[in-house]
Amino acid sequence: MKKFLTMLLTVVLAVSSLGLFTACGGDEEQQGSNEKIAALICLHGEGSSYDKNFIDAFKAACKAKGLTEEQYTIVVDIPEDEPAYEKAAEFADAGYKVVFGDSFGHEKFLIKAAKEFPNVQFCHATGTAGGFLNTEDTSDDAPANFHNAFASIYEGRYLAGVAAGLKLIELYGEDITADEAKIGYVGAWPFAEVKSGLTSFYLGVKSIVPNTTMEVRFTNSWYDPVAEQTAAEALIQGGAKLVSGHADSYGVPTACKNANVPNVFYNGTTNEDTFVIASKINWQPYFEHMLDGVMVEGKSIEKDYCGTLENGSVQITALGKAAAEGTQTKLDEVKAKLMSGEIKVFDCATFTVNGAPLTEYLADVVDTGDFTGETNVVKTEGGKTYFAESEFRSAPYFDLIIDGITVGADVVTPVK
Amino acid sequence: MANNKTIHEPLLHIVKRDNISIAKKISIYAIAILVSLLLGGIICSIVSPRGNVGKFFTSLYEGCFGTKRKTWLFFQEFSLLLAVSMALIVSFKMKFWNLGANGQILMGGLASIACSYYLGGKINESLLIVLCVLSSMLAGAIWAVIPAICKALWNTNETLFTLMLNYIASGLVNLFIAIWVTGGSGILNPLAYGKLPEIYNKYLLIVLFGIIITIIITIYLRYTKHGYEISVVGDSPNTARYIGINVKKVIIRTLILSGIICGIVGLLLTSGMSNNISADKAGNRGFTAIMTTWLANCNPLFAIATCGLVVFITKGMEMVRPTFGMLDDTISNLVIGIVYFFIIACAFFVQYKIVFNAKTTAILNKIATPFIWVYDKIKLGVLFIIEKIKPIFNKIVKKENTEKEDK
Amino acid sequence: MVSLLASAIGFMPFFLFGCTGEIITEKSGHLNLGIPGIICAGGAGGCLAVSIYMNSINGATPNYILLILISIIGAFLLAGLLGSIYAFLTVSLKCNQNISGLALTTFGTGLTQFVMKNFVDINDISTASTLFKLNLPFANSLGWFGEIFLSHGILVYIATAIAIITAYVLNKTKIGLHLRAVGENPAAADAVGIKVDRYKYLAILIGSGIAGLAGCFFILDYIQGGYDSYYIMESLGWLSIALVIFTLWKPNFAIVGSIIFGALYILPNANIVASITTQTAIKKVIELIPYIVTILVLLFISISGSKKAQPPASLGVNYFREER
Repeated sequence: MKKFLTMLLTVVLAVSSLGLFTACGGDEEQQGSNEKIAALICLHGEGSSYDKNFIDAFKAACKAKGLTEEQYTIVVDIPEDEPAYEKAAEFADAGYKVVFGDSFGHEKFLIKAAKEFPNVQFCHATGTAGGFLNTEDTSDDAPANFHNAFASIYEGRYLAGVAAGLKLIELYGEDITADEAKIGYVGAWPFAEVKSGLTSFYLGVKSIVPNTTMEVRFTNSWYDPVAEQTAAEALIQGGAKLVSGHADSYGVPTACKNANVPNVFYNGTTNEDTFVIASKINWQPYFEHMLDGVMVEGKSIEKDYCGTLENGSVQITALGKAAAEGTQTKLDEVKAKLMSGEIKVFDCATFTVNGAPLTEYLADVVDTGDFTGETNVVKTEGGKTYFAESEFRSAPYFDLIIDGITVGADVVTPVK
Repeated sequence: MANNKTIHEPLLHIVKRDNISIAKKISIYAIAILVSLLLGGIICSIVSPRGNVGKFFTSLYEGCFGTKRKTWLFFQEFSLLLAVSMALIVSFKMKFWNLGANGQILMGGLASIACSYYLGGKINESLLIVLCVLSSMLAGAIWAVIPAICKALWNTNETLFTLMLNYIASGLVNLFIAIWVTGGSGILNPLAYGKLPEIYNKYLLIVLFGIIITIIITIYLRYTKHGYEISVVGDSPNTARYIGINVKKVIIRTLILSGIICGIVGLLLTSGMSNNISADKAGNRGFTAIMTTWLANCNPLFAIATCGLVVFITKGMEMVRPTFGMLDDTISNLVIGIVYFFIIACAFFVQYKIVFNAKTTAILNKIATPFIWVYDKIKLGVLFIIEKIKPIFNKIVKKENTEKEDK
Repeated sequence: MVSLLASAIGFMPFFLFGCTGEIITEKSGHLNLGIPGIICAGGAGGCLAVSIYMNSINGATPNYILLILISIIGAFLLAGLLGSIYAFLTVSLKCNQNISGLALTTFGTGLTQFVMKNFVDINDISTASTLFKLNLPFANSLGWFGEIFLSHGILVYIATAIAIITAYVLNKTKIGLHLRAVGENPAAADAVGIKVDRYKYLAILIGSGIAGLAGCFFILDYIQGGYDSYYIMESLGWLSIALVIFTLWKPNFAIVGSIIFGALYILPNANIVASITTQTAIKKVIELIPYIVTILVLLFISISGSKKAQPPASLGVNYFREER
């Protein structure tokens, strides 16, 4: 018994002294207000390029607005399920003024929290409730304190496509054959957000290489490095000369590196010799707008914010080692035309669906869960007829597969 | 055999303890947990300059009981884990290693959601809920009984079989989501029909289930014939056969029970919460429960303590992470792993004691001498003080008594 | 088909290393459910070693042989270290094998993330990874044979060699015979004078080390450094445990088994499937094939009761000398 007690005493003493030692220090009192302002809810953690994008922008925006570390918080690994609601409600309980959820599936749960806490603002990326916000009927699906946000990333994709097209010309010359003009794309899920991205990328390539065709694979997962790498390898095996993608791991760039095929990425960059360019959404402008909305008297958060090239939400990264010469000047030129409206990405004169150009299209803008379209989104302005992506709602609704694009493993036919 | 070589005594013997007082047992575990948490706190404070060990412990507490909502969430999670533990206890007591609880939970949830999806709005809501409950119990039972039957008939290794069934269950969930969500996003939105009714608030139904199932299983194992049969089969299947127990029947019957419980947990996680399903709905509770069950030595009442501890640490770490500015679950896994290791080692020290050889014991005694001296002095001091206080204390008591008598 | 096989072989070392390592461990009677964590730790160990090496040569081109050796040693050491924890818990302290393994998996994944985040420079790894993919120079000119069999990095061949050596040692040497005896009937082995605990320790340590090479392969060869894509190793690790059943505890089968398993695993995203089906639902069914096949193998060997195809008799049971 004695021996036991002494062992006990020794161990407890040793560890407690260690503990006390580290307890001293590292506990500075924050000067200034400790009022809680903003909370960010992430699907995964910094390991996912998607979430890292949000995390970095959020931290930068909070710093730019002068928030102390006590005034904002970030939680990670919150699944697209009930825990999202619970976390959001916890933040509301704790006094945060605005809560942001970064993943598509968080939406319904943030809305649930929004209904319960009308004085707290809830914001969400990529969500489709924006469709309700822009209609006239006040819908239960979009309470007043709930806001959506996205960006016209299709313009960034288009620019990335232009860079890709220039690379193809550099590799195969102006007389590039149809085989040499074949490109590949690895998407996550076959729905509008991904389809809008791949189509705009394709149209960007097509504006430089008219005879290009694109083969698409869907991995049915936002994050699966092996599946993405395999799909990219399969595309390259099948003849793709350049591969891009929309998924959260680095599987596609790795496959491209191994096969020495140029790669266009999304929301991240790599140092590889095969990296051409990437498009990304910079969330900092939105986050700063969001913080203004809760901190500055008289300002409020936009219902359905759509970031643009102008305000810096849509960005293309610096050119990689594989970019062709002269790419930067061409990109600056195209970017200016996009901003002035001279070029419309989804210009109906540049693509056809099932052989015929689009004159009208009922898109599923108001997401009632029945997956059927109801809003005609084809507009004519300034002599151009175009598919007005992101104008009726910030989250994409372009879910068509146009001619020139083939889906290798999956097709979801758009409902007429 | 006569031998002229000097007998070489190994450094230590591992000797099984004859018995050990409950107090000693509890104190060993308590110390192990405390030390491992301290270690975890130290690691956290080294890794992140924003916090320190004190903050670590307060964050742990706050994460579980900081607000009313958090407290309810704690008990909800506690009840769910406890229920799964009960399902595993009945199976582990038979030495049937059911690693497939995740899959059984998912199948229960899938069955319930499938009922709501296909029949919601078409039949009476109360009837729908009854169907959901029954189908989830059936689905969980089937998923658990398949490996049980194979084990009973052909001695198929159940560890690996149940493990594979987990993958098939999550594959089936993904399959159904792919069929139902034609929009292609892979996310099933909360369904409109078939949500379980709430009692007082959304958490109480689950908490009640946890309490009730714990009581049922405790009684089942301790006071029923079935429970007796389970423990005999677990101790020795041969003995069981000799005394006339149908071992095959017991295995199958017990796994049906295990599956039913998991199925109901699946029901609660889906129709009892947000009325949707996804492949990771089970939240890996099937594996976590393996730890809590074993750490509780397959005793339902001890499982209350182990499940409570694990939920405390897990939920607590959810608060530690943002407080310390940690942006992924690296450290969480490390801390939880360390706590597990300490408790596992503890389980060993409770059953066995280490007896060192004579030489080493002498050395240890020498090292321990100053500490024993300190302990003796403190004890003497305390006793001395108590002796001094006693008469004063007695005087006060006497005075009060005489005052009372006077009145 | 060619591309499917080539991709499958390119991915095969992960399963082969993990499977061979676990076979060695299981032959000694220990079911090590900590393999997923050990694989992750091996990856971290390999990356750590490579990172240190790249740092020391400071920008010069790394020496190919040295690089491979250093990564293998680093992976083996860290994985072996974690394996030793498992060995200590289950062989010396006689703790339950399943629980110790699961605790180790949790700890191992945490440790891996910790090391990768704080001690490894991802750019160094990316540069070094290119060398892992160096293949035989004449591979390209040998048509489909070259593409399938010769166009892979050296780890593919190392994995195959280790599997063959393991099979030889297990079946044809005295050490192997003793090890198998320990796994089948430790009491009898002890009675004959075989040092049971020593064989168990060795088997677990070596088995863990080899399994750790799977992690090293995955990060340094397959995902080329991967920028944090290594989280997926844990879930893949469980498949290695399944593969042990699939290959009936025979390392030679494991070579073919890993290729088949690897092919089945990547099948949903291969060109073959892409040219046949257009439905997500069908792809989801294809994803289930590896697991269904494993269950069928499991059922088959237990129903047939064939002596040659059984798991080691004392698998999962700790050996208590005192209770002999």
